[in-house]
Amino acid sequence: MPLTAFGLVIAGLSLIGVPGTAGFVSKWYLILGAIERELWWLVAVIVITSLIAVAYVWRVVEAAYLRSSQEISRNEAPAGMLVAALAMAALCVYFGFDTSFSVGGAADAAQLLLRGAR
Amino acid sequence: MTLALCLLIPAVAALLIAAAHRRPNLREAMSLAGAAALFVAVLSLWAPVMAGGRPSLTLGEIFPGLALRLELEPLGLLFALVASGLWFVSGVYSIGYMRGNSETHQTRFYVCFALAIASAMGVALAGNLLTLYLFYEVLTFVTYPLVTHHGDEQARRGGRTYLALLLASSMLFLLPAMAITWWLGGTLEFTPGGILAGKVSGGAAAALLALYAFGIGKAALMPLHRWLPAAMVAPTPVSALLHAVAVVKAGVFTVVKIVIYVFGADFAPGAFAWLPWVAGFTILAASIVALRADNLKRRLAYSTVSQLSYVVLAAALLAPLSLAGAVLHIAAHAFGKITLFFAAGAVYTAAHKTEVSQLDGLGRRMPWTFAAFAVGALSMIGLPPFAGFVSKWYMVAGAMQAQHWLALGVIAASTLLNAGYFLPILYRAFFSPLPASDSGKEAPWPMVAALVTTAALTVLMFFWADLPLALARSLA
Repeated sequence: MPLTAFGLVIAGLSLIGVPGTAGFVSKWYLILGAIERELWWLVAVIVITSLIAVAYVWRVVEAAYLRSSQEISRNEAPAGMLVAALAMAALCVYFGFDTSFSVGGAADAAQLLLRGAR
Repeated sequence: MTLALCLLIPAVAALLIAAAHRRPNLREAMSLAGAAALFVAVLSLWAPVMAGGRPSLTLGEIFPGLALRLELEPLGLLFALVASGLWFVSGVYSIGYMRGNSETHQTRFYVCFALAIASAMGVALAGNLLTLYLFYEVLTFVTYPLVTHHGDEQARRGGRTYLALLLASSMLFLLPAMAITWWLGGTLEFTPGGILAGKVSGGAAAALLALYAFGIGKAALMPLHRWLPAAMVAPTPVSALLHAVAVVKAGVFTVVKIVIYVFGADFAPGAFAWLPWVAGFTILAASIVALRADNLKRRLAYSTVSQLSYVVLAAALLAPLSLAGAVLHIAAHAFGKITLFFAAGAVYTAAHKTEVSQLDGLGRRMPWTFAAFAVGALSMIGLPPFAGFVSKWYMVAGAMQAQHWLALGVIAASTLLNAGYFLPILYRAFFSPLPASDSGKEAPWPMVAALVTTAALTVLMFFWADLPLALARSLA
């Protein structure tokens, strides 16, 4: 299932927060926020947890690509499932580069919430 | 426009290589055509950059005020020229190696190779730290399938060390360093004179420098060097182009780039005072490990760890001459070390020998290979008329300019150690008798042609040193 596995890798990279994926965008803002408040221990926690994500994502990648499988068939999942999964993986990458929608929307929401709190 | 081509050509080449997977000759032709086109594209940028131009291209804004942007300056041009030119040579070499050793998954190999070059181009052309970081991380991931190419337990273990150390360093240290720089300086654009000039000082500056120096794991400062010997499980063309040139040079290139454009060459030297000690320790310790390694690729890998720290050491001195030496060494070490790896791969392909102790008399059986090996080895030691002499000369002059006696002592001691682990190989190959049972010949001709070419480049750089020197000078 090469295409499914590829989607899994992309989603995994986003979980890790590799630049060029949506996961990086949120990680960047978390780190910036912690630095602005000078909460250095929080910066450490954020980067260490994303390192833990590497460990569990990579177990899957190794299993998918580096273990020889007994069956040779390259059957994918039904097209509907595959298309949906790959579309989500594509969005992981898309929102890693175009953040006008996600960051803009989040900033508006944050502003609204903070105003409500006052 | 040409800047976009420098990224697009290797990326498109990767697609074409994948499309031609059923026709090996066409596939390898695509790889060579891509390399040739890329080299011409990079070369066409020489004149405008030397005239003082800084071609740039904004690819799109990721965060408010923080764009994905390319901008070419002299240092990036040098790195791009070396990487793209040697991609072509190692493309020729790979044909001989991959076919000579009947390697599997050759299409995946050539595709990942092209993608690695595309990422290296992105690092070379990056106009700000965010863009550089993006391509720096992508380079780690696209080279992972090359390191684990053989897919066995050893490859899996090597791949794990490779990924773990490179990602841990960049995610734990480089990313926070970048965020702190943004917080302090309000920009991540590479700025002549430095983003941080006048914005941070004392212990905070030294700590930030440490985050950068250890965050750039690809520069292999000890104790973060272990990924490089681990990567030697890859096929030799990968060790040659990626782990002697593209990946490791992306590391030291980033270090030099950060010294010049983030801290600035006029930064208070106090913050940098600790770095020559770490780099000096790495130079000597890695040389001592190399001295004791019997496996040829392992010895070369530790030699690379040591030589990379020359660049870090020279950059940390912040003297104009030593900065020029650091820049020259990026090119000089590339030519010499790729020659040495090419020779190691030729020995493996033609004679199936991997250990130094097995090389008796092979110099007479494989004269071209070992003549080229001699050129690479003497250049590593820093003798004229080879490229390594030029960069070492400038590093020594820079150490004197900065009156940094520790650096001078380290360079002198390391020269002796280099001679100590390279000359015995040459002695064995040329002066020990060849076992009577051995009646083989040279490696396949594409490999011999490639290693003779890079050996010739090592000599030519000595005589034409003014070309890279002009680039290095235009930085200061």
